Amino acid sequence: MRITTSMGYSALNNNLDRLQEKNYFNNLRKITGKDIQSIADSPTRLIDIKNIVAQKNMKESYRNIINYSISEMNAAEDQVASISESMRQIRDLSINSTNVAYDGNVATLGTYIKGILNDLVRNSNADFNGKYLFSGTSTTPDNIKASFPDMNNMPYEIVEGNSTDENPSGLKVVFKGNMDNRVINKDAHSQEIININPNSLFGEGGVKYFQPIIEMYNVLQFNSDGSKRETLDSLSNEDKSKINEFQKQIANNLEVVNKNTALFAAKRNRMDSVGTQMSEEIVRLEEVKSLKEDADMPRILTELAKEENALQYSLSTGSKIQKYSLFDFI
Amino acid sequence: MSTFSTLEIGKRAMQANNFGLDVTSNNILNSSTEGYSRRQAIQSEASPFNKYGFFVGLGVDSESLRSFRQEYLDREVCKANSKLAGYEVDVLFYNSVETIMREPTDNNLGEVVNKLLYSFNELALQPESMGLRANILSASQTFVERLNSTSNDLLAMRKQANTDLVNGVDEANKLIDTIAEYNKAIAISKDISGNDALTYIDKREVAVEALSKLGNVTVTKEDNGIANVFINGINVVTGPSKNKLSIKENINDATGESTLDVVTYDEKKNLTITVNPTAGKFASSLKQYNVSLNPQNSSDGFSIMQTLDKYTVTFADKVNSLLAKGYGVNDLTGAAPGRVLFTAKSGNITAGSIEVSDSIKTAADLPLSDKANSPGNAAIGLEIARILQDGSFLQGQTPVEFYSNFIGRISQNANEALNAKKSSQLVVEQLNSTRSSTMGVNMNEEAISLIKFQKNLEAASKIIATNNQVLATIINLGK
Repeated sequence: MRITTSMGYSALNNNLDRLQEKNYFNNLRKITGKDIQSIADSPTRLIDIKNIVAQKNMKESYRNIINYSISEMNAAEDQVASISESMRQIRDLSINSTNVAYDGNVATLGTYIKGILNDLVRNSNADFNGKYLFSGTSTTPDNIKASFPDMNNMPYEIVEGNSTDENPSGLKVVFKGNMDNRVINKDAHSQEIININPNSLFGEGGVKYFQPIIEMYNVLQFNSDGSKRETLDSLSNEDKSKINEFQKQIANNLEVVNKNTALFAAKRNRMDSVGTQMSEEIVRLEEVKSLKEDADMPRILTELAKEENALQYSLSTGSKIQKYSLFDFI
Repeated sequence: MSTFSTLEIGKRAMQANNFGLDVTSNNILNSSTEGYSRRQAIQSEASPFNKYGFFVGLGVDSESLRSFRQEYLDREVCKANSKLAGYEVDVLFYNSVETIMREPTDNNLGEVVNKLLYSFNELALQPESMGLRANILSASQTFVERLNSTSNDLLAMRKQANTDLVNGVDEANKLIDTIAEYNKAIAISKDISGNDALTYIDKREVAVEALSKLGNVTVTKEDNGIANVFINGINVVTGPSKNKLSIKENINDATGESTLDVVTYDEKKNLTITVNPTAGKFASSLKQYNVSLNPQNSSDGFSIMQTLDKYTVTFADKVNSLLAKGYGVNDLTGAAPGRVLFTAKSGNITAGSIEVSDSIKTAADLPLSDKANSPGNAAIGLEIARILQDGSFLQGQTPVEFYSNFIGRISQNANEALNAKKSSQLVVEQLNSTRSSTMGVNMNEEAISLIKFQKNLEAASKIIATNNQVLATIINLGK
């Protein structure tokens, strides 16, 4: 084949261009650690990577939401345990009060029960990160709608109204939140309720379970004629019968509270499992993403070394070849 | 035959070898000239004369000047150049698109959309949080700004494609003028000398090759050396006359769609015909302008702008239709206020015109609750977040799938352009190498030719010198 002057220069030029281009992209891969430097490199892998990244980010977002929700549910569970304990204490006290061997001050018992009632209401107003735990979706003070001007902006409040025959103390627990569920998107296809509904915690209207406690207090604190009990006053059989009835109601309510709490704890555990599973999936997705996206460093470094050698030899050989022709010898 | 016949033989030999030296020197000095085809001085024995009953030649004559240019190779090089030039433009185009779309980085438009939807999800934990609501507004602003800048950049590319076409047409017209001028010169030279003016032919071929990079060129040659040039089968040069190119814009009255055509005008400025080359820079630039970057593309081709606009409109409509049913923090009674998050600066929503609606003035106005007077309710927000998994978002795909496939399609086209460019480059190199092998200058060959002609010249001068002595002897015979 006839070799001309321009063929030599063209071949050298094209060869150098190709080597330098390969060198450049391999250096980029080395610096960035990514195998794909351009959308033209590998369309199939690019789509796979995008889908994996989207999946991973989505799972991370859901996992963060689940973790936060679990923290909130843990706080709620702690408060419900305290509420349950308070109700148990009230039940136990009421049983004691009807015991024939009991020689304590009945009125004092009533005062004690009122104190526990205050604790109960205080626990009901517990918050997590500034949000009330047991008020439906009215979780901030701004959204608590007070019925009367002198009410506070907490969801549960003991108010003292006018004394009546049925309610000599006039005490009433008022609920100012709502019965709505707080819902989150737990994953791509399902939602979860993350609060304990006031209905399931305190009965209908969020206040039903407080009623027997108040009524028990009324019996312990007031005589049947509505006058306050004196220190040495004792309970009549009728009073004891009422207290037994209230104690049974409190016991039943306590059972319901404990059952709902157990269901809530089970839900929390389930969400914990979901969160753990998501964490594992995220790790797996990271691995798959790395396999598809990251540069194979040993291969890149080997190729770089090869290209450096090829470039050097091309430059030195090419320049030597172009040097000589017959004109140098005539 | 006379006493001076030997002198005549010597003179012819000197002329012929001088000519050979000229041709060889020209070859050596033009060895690196673009488009130069080496020449060879062809010598032949001069016509014989009768001397003493024998026919003796009158020395050597320069019979012709041979060119090694091959039409077939020129044609194939033109074809390959067209394809390569077109693919080079395509590769540059996709490099630019890749930069504008911020691919393949993690900061691409798809991730911006995903982050916006995640922010609705996160809000469900604390719907009354003004910080999280403000986060949604901020993510929405980022979303519209990204869409606006992407759209504007793509439209700027479209404008550039227009500019490239205009510049390309100017360049093409200059080349057409050049080819026509050379045709004229070649015809005149042929008339005068009866031979082809190889220099003009070489220069004309350089112009034709340059033109082939702009569009797919075919050439027919006539016996007098004139070349008729066609672009996509449409005649642009016939001998010395030419049909210049121009750009014609077509506006669709109904849709306002603007497309461009490359057309030819004859010398009287009458529109003759649409050229629209199918290869070369023109073809690629036309495709960019008329299809890929055309927001109102009505052809079957894949339009990046149109797809981006479709994605934008669908997303905005889905979000707006949900928000229109929602209530904000301070919406205490009555029907849903009908606030939306996205509107258009003017006209319909597109990637370029979308903006955050001013009906949502503060974070509290975001209508994320599905009932009045219930700011802790984020039902609408949760539904918006679930758009991410909506399999009927667009063309039976979720937003993530649609965006991945959109980028995948661009990526596929870019990959094809790159592979085509690489293989075209190899073809062009191979053809140039083959052509160079045939018509290129080999210094060693020319050095030998130089030596050959130089020695012949020396020999011819010896013949003249010897004959000079013979003549002197004859003249001095009578003294």
